[in-house]
Amino acid sequence: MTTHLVGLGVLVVVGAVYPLVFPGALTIAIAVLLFAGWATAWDVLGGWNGQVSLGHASFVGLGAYVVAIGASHGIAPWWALPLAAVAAAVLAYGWGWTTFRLRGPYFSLSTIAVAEILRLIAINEGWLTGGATGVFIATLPEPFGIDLFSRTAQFYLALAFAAGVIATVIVVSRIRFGYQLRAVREDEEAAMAAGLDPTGVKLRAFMLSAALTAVGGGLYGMVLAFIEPHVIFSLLLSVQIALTSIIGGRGTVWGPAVGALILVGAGEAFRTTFAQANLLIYGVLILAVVLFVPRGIVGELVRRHVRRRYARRAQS
Amino acid sequence: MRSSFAAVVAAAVMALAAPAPATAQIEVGVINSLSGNFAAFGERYRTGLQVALDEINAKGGIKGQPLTLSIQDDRSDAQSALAAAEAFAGKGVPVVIGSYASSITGPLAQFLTRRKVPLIVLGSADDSITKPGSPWVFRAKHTSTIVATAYFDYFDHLKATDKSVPLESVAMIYGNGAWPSSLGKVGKQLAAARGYKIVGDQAYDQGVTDFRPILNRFRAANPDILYIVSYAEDGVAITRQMREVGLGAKVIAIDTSAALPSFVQQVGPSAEYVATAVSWSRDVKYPGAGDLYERLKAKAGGEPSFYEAEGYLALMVAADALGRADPKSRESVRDALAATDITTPVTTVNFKSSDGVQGQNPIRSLILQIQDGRHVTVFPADLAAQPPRHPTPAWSAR
Amino acid sequence: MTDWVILLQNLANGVLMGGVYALVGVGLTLVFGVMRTINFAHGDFVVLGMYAAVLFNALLGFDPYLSLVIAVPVGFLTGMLVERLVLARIVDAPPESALLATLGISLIIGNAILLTVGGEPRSVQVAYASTTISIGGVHVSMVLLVAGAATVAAIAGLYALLHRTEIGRAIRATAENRLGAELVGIDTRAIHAIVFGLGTMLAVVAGVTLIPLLFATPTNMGAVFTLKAFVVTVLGGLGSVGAAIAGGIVLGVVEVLGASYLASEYREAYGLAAFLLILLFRPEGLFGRTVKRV
Repeated sequence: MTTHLVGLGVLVVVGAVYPLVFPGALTIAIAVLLFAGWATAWDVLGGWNGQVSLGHASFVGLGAYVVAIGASHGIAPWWALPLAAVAAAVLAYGWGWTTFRLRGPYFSLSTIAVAEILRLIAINEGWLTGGATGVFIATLPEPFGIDLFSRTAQFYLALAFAAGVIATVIVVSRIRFGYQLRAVREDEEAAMAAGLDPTGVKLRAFMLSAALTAVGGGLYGMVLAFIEPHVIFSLLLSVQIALTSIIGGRGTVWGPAVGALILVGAGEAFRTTFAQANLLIYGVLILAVVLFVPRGIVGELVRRHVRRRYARRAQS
Repeated sequence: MRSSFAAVVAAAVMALAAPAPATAQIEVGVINSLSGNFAAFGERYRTGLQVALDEINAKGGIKGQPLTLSIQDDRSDAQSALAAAEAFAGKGVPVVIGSYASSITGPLAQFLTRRKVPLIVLGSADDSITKPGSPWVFRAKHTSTIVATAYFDYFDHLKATDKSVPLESVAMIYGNGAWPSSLGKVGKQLAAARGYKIVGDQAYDQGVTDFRPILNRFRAANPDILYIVSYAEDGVAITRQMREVGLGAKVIAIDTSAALPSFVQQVGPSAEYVATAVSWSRDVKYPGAGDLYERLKAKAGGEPSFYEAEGYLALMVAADALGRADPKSRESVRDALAATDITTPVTTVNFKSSDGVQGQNPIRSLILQIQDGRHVTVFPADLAAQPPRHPTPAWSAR
Repeated sequence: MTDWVILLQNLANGVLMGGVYALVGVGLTLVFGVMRTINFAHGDFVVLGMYAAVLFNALLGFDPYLSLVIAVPVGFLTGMLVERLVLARIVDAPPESALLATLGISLIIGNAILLTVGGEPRSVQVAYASTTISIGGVHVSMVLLVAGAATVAAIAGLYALLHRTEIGRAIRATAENRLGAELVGIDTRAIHAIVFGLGTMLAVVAGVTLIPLLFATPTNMGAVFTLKAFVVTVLGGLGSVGAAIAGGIVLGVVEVLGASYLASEYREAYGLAAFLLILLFRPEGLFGRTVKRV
């Protein structure tokens, strides 16, 4: 627990000074923070609760569109973001209510199908989303004279988002709900025998995960200032979010954030150094992690640490 | 593994943070899709940019200083493009050229406008980029409105020149991507405004490979004109299946895919008579077009398309403005761009604002028709190399 | 054309497209049924088959179908190699590992093609690409018929292999109970390699068969095929090879009828909605016999 709080403190302090040290590399840092937040939010359902979703781009898209449509109707982001969270939770409730009778890979497949249908709706229903050509976010209000389009402001918002999601997970991992999540993940029948309602637990995890993801989606919309449904609802984004979490280490507090730092960082490094081969190298990297650190990077470190502690205890 | 990896990341971070060395050359930033979904287009744009660069430096560069390009890959992804744009904005490049997809160029335009860096659009043709536009964004190539208008001008022209062939009804198919759907939308407005009856109007999702249900529906409606907007690969499948189900029309227009050299090669004789709109062709009557064709062909190592020409055009516009401005001042470059008035082998360029549009060159789109296995410019008449072959015979009569 | 001729035409097209989908899906079904691995690279292997045909056609002037002679064994060996080098190492890891690994493979295949062949869409131009056979006013595409015949042949061959040979019995035993199969002396590691080889081979055959009809692009098409294969697999019944045909035909007919009589822009959604309904209410698939919940 204290380690996690120290980690959170480090994140906030490092984050606070980052724009002063690297004022010319904020976009990439925002991307790391958003992916850290999304992957951590994904992990509430995918890691702690063991339900692998490949449709989380739907919530990113939902968040971005609520902010964009809100902005065009004069609704400020500080109202639009909570609204997006609520809308995402409602969507997740309906989505989970219909598909949580499925388990394992079947559930994962169903999330792809639902997300693809939502993508088609976003593209085809122009009255709702502005259609396939996308929408601009042209104006945002300026609270206390802060330009919400400036990268510095967006960086701090993304930092608050990532830190907030990680803090939420730290809390969740300690409270009763967190133990329920893990109980359902490990053995649904046993959890049921112990008086838990597995579907109810999964639904709550999905709603929390979706709401947090949508907040990040809203911020992403502000960063892009122009959103196109093909891109923001794409299966590739869903897969990236899941990959980030799994490579970092599922069911750990810091794994998804570490995954975001590595994957987004690697993507940027390869983009600037290897140009055309960068996605190829990305694929090789994923393969390498799966083969050599199958628990994810943080998951592997935690396992070694725990082993060493047991070994020390056994000696003394 | 992990430590070497960290080293790569650290090196990248250092590279981003390090100040640019001062040199006696002018560097233009290019953000282009060299990997990912749009890599095929990015490669073509790069060829065109290179040809323009060679030409500019062979003529002595900009005011005696050599011009260089700093080309950044955006991985066909907006977030990477924005990271590259941020680096360019911090580095002090006088002007940025980019990118292909509107999902990337839209965010780029927004960001560079806020950072007050002039942007010359490389490939995106979405109306919304220059309408309302921004004082910092310039586009020498076409928009969806310009292209759709060119098609309907062509239909009107055919109708007026050969009155024995009635052209009254139009059926449309378009993909649901940004470009096809905006061309579909403008097409519908134009058809209504110019008195064509819309007898078919169907969208499809990218990745669909079976168009028979749509084509069979159209066959029952028997349209005079087929207005098809598709991505490169879909157009091949649509044309083959059109012949298969026996759907013909007096005019068949297929946007984007039919303009690629590979279309003729892959569709074969069924490609004859198909019309398509482009921003440039090798036989257009602009001075130097034939010479440009040879240079693009040599650089590309294959048959060039209008994409290469658009890449060439973007850099020529940048170089012209840099030659008339103080390359150290972005305001000065912006003002020089706004005052552009040149003729290139691709087209004439000036950025006059009108009708809520700014920074847009009112380029004249060309209509090409595939005749005897070659793309031939057939419209507008004063730029055409050959008259159009009209009407298109039925499949059974070919 | 009268309405019922149009309906017949649509049904015929739906069934034939279904044959194509079945061919794309059957390899995935086999791999999932035996190895419990969801292969995200399946569609990329289909694309690989397409490029094989394109290259043979372009370099040697072969008829695309003739490239099967080389593509089939190469596909089989590639699959075995991928299984041995990657999947065999993570056979005891959590199921998501295989999903991730195949995603990595998918990225590698697509971008390796992009780097070597380039991103331009490629296809082959053959005389019979638009040929049709007319039966009572209903036009049937020659290439689709060939694809349908290939599907039937592939699935019949696979059925014979699974039910008439010793190796087939071993494969089925491994699918049923891997530990039990090991106990009776079956080398399940070798079986996994063979099965993945077969799955890859079937994907490559699908690619070669489809190229006269379609076109190949390195990075876009793979995901489309993978998704179709999933849908076919779930509709028919996960792990049931014969049911892949039925799953494919259901998908083809639902899509074609939806696109013909409802809004065409939602074509993909009709198949996916059918997929979800089957998954929810008949998770064993339309034609599967037992519930196989993992």
